[in-house]
Amino acid sequence: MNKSLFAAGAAALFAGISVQAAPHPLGLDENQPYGILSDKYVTPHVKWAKPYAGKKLRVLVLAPISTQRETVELAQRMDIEFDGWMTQDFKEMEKSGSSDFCSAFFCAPGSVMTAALKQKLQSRHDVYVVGKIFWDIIPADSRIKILERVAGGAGLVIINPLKTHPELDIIKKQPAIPGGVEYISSAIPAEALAPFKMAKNEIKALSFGKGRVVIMDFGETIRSYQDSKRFFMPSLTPIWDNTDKQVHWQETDSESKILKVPYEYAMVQVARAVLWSGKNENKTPVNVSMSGKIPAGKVASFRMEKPFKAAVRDLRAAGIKMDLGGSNQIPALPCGQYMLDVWKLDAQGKIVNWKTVPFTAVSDVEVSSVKLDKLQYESGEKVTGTITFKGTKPAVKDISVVMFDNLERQVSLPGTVKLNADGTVKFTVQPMKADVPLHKIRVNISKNGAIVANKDYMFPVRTKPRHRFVEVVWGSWYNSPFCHFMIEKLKKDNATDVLMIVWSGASSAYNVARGNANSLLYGARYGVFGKTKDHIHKVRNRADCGCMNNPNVLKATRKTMNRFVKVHGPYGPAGYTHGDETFYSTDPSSCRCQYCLAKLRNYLKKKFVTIEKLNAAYKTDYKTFEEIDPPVYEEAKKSGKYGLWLAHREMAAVTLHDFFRATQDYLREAGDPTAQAGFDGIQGPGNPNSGLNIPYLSGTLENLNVYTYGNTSLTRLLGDFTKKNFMTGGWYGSYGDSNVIGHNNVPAANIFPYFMLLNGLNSSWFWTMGYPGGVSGFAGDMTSLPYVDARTESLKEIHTGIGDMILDSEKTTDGIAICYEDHSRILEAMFSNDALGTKWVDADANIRTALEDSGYAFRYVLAAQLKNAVRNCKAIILPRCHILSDENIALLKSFAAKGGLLIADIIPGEYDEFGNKRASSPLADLFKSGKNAVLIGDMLNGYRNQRTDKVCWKNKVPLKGWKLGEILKKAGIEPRFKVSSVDGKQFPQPSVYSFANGNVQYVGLLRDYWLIDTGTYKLKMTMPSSAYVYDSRAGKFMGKGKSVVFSQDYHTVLFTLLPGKVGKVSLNHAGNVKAGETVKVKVSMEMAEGKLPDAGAYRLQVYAPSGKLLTEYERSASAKLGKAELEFRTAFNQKPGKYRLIIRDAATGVRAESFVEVK
Amino acid sequence: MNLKHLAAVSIAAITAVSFAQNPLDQIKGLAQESSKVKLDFKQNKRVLKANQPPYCTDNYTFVTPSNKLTVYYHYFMNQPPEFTGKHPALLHSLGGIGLSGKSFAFWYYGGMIRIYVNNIDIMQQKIAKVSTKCGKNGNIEFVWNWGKASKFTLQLIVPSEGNRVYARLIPEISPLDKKVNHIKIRLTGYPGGFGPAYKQPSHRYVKFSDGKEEILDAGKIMKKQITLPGDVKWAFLADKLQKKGAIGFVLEKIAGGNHNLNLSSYGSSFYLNYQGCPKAVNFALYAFETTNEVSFNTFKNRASSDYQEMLSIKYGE
Repeated sequence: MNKSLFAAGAAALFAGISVQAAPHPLGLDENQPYGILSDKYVTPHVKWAKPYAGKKLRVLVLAPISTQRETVELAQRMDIEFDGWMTQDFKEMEKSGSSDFCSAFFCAPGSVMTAALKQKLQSRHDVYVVGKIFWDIIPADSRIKILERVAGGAGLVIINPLKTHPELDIIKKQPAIPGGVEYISSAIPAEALAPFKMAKNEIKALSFGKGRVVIMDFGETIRSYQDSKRFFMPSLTPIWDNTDKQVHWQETDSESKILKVPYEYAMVQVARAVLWSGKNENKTPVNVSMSGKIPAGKVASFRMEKPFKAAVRDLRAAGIKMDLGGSNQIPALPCGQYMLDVWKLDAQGKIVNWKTVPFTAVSDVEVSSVKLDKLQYESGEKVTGTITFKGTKPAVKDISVVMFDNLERQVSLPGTVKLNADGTVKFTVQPMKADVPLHKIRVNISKNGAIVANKDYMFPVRTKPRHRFVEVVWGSWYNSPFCHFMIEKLKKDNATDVLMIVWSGASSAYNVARGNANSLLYGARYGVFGKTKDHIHKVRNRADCGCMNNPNVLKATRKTMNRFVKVHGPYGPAGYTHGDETFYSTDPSSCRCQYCLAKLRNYLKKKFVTIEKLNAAYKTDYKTFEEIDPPVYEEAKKSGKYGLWLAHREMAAVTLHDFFRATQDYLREAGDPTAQAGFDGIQGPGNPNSGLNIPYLSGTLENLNVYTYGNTSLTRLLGDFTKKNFMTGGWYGSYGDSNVIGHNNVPAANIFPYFMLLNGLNSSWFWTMGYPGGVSGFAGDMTSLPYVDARTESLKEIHTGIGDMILDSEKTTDGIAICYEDHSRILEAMFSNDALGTKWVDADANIRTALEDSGYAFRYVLAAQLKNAVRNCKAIILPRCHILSDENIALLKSFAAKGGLLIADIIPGEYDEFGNKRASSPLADLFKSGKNAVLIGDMLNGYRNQRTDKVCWKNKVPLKGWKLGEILKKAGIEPRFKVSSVDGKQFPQPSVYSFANGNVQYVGLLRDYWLIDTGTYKLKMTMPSSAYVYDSRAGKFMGKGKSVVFSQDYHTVLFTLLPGKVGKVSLNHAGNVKAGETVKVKVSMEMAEGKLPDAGAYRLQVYAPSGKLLTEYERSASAKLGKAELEFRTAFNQKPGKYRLIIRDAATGVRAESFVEVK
Repeated sequence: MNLKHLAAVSIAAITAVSFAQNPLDQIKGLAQESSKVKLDFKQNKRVLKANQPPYCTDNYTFVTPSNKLTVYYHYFMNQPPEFTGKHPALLHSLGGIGLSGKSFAFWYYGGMIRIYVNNIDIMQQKIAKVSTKCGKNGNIEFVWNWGKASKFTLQLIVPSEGNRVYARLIPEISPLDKKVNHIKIRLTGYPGGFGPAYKQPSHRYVKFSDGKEEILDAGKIMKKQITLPGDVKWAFLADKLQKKGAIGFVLEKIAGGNHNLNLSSYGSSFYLNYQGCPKAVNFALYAFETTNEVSFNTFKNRASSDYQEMLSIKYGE
């Protein structure tokens, strides 16, 4: 653990339960986004007026919090001192009190907002910019103050007010100032920006007292605001194109025009409005002289009085520009539309004025289209297609087809090209394995050695996340500047692998890939039958949302899956979730339709074979299986005959499982061969008809995610029964500061990814990035809020290989198993008044929590697998285990007779496996005797709830959960990894998770967030045998022995116990490679003492000669006996030079580095 | 056109020109109206229990540019025609006057204030008059008759910042009525919120204008009676286990006043005791949205100027 972590812990201790990040500038919660505005995060931009030869204006932008990034965008482009006053929305300054616990946290109080504006207006600004907000949401006294300043000589820029106002009408009627509009609009080549979706661009340049006012009207109305993706509407520039190509993946070449180029010019307009209104414009003419048409493939020139600087921008390519510096020579360009940006400079090189001149490079040939032969390509798969041309057909020798990825890495050699009879060209390129999803085919036509025509054709290649433990982030990723900024930042700075695309289509998928992230689709929500007040209920009107056994529903579902694959399959989604917070039904007796009953009858027929056997089991007298008519809840409860009702509920899980498994089959059949499907946000197993038999579902559904709800049983169950290659995780994130899902604060967010990993899950799911400044991890300016940084810290560590080494290992226990008996969960509903089995859920949670708080490592076992458990366990705990088969009863008796310990809260086995009540449980005498069988009764009642009640553990000392530990200790069962206080003080016992992989052991000590204690404690962990101990988070050797002393605050501690001390790691690879070749790195380890570890993991990082970390080459790999092989393939256009390779052993932090030269 | 008409036209023209030349004044005129505090009134009647009179809540929501601050008045409609049975209580313990609107909820929506005259709760009698006025500030006035010809008026004034409430109790005692020997005002707040009602721990404290502080033990359910220092002008109450939700109280210094604070791990009550009958009692209530430290500094910095405003502010402005 490093010093800063200790410091954070000490601060936390001082502050009680809260962890102090940097104080909020306005005294709000440190995770509140309101009032945060800085230019620390930099996005690509053109410095139009920076450095500017005029005065540095002081500008105050009044705009919604979610759009304040545009203030920073403006400041990146022009020399201003900026400040922003934030409203919650375009329509309201403050969002009225919301009952939603998440948005309530993220909405700032009006009193703080008005005070902030008053405080800001105490300083004088040169220009006030009002970004589309309703004029009357600015408090009247502040409006007057601003206008007084304007009347006194300041500037005011009002951008597209979404509502008229009598005060604005007065302003609009003020006299125009000649030359103002011309100055503001003259630099914008609007005529060359046809795709720019500015339906209207009416500018007024007026006087107001001694000041100047600009009103820019884009024709946007409150209607267009409502129709757009509300929170993604910009405040300074026109509405983004937020179309979403829902239907099909499409060629998206035109996107680049919308994305970057018009945005730059829209910003120019704002910048010039600010300069003019601030009386800071310089009207020195920028007299550029050049032809509007130049020949493609030939150097051209323009005339311009020196000193100047210039750049050429290609309208067809996203953000690509050529800096010409002070040269007036335009290099040979392929045909197309271009912009020449020219800045007039003063003697010091500062910008005086600027202008953009559109021009076209013309050629007798153009590439009119590129068409690929297939919709989707696997990584490394040969790509073939057809090119068509306009104009003179080029010779084959003049055509070059090469593939690039979205990082501008050339990933193929020039492909083969063959002329077809119709004049089109067939091409084939062989790319290397893909590192990012988005690629392009670049077609160049050359003449006399110069490229005269070209085309980039963007398309996805199926790629999977690079890390084995991934972070999934919920969002919609529309076409909006803010979405693009968020995607780029999440991927680049915030350790995010996968962006969940929620109910949107091709545009969002493309946007995600454009940010080099992988996607996961949430396109439909199935299940939730009988729930009428559901928040996503309306989708159930769809044909595929009916009964899961109905063949017509399955047919419609297949069609839907086919559509999903068409849109998203080409990207190779990391997974598909078909329902957030999904379950089977709220009704305890559904479903009794013909299909469901038929399924039940067939199921029973398979199970019992003969009707006589079924009758004997359930004490019924059916003559045929077709007669079987299961009772509804009330009937079963009244009669006390639960058997067939239970079987019917069992079918709910089977139905739920079969349906979701079918969705995966349909996805694969439709063309996504690696589709992993399931649902997320699992909650509410107390509902008997939820179908949420987690061990059963997690054994075969390949994409599942749970809510922890302060109760980690679901997480434990999922981790104990899932398979290694399935995608499993749980939700956390922006849930406010009061919800039991988890709080958006530093400790909770830091703990969560480790909580998932140590439970054997391979993902953490963050809800939600939403929109910046709202319910989101980013403030309006894209600053990561402290809780996001806290979670990023953990994710980055896990990505160093810690994730690999834990996921490669097997969980170990202290010989304690909790018996999971699903029928008992369901049967509990019969003993409650509201048809809910919450008592079972509570009992399970109480026992599990008590074990965690007593420091035991344990796992769940299925009642059906007790045979194995009794062989490997010292203690078996049976939470409200109403039902046990005769066979299990015999096993448990025998287990106790041989010295095993049984612990139960009720006498287990009062019912047989068919739900028939026994006269008395055959285990009753054993529990009454107390010999190796302890009945704890209600000893733990309410325990977990107390723990999740935001009550610090200190207020409940001694914890009643520790009593369970005392019972185990009395029976001689001690934790193998025992944590104690060094100074004798009481401490919050961390949950102990242990894993083994050969001769390597890992011990995770996780302080449950709900202990509500972030203080630092000095602790000691004793171990059953001596080992070389490493703190893997800190990469620090802790010593050799049977114990280790350490400090722990809220951060999870992860120890690796090795059979030796690592001396050094070495890497072996070729000293130089040609661009395009693979660098194969062999890693080995030497021990200073002891034996080599059987297992481990390494992380490889590659730094460019410039010192920049090349994240595309970062990867981790499992190791055996200290050996591992990793490789990365250089691009064909890899810049020559010496590349630094760093290898780090994940368990110990021991590292080595070397260089490879790319020639 | 006669001269008189010509003069009128000229004046109109001059006015138009001056208006055109001075749009700021025009806008100021318009803005004056929109800067006023507005009132939204709602009444909610419901039956809480069978055989009980309807329970009525009058919601007076003052909409300021910063906040919506609601003054509640809850009472049983225990008289005909609404109720003909026997139910002498007009208010239950959480009835009467309360506040809400962000952290003002920590002064609670009911039972925030009780006024005792000669140890009799005057709020238990039917209110004689409730009137409101909106202008620069939001104003509401509750009047209770007392004796034959006396009355007590409680004025609450919400300035346009919406971040404080000035309260003024004005006794008007007729010689026809019994002498007022003693007036007691109880004010109850819940600094840091209502966590203890849900078994959550609290760690509450108070700071006074003279620099004194009192703090309860962390996590324990306890009460502490504190005699307010003689020249105390303000008190700030918060909870160390909560980042925010502090409340503040400014009190007019009146000779003969003798005040206590019952600081508790849940609700804390001020008891303002006045021997005899002061002409008026002024106090102000605050609630904060910011972290406790920032709130305290804000409160401390403005308490003196607000004290003066509290004394001088006029009802109905």
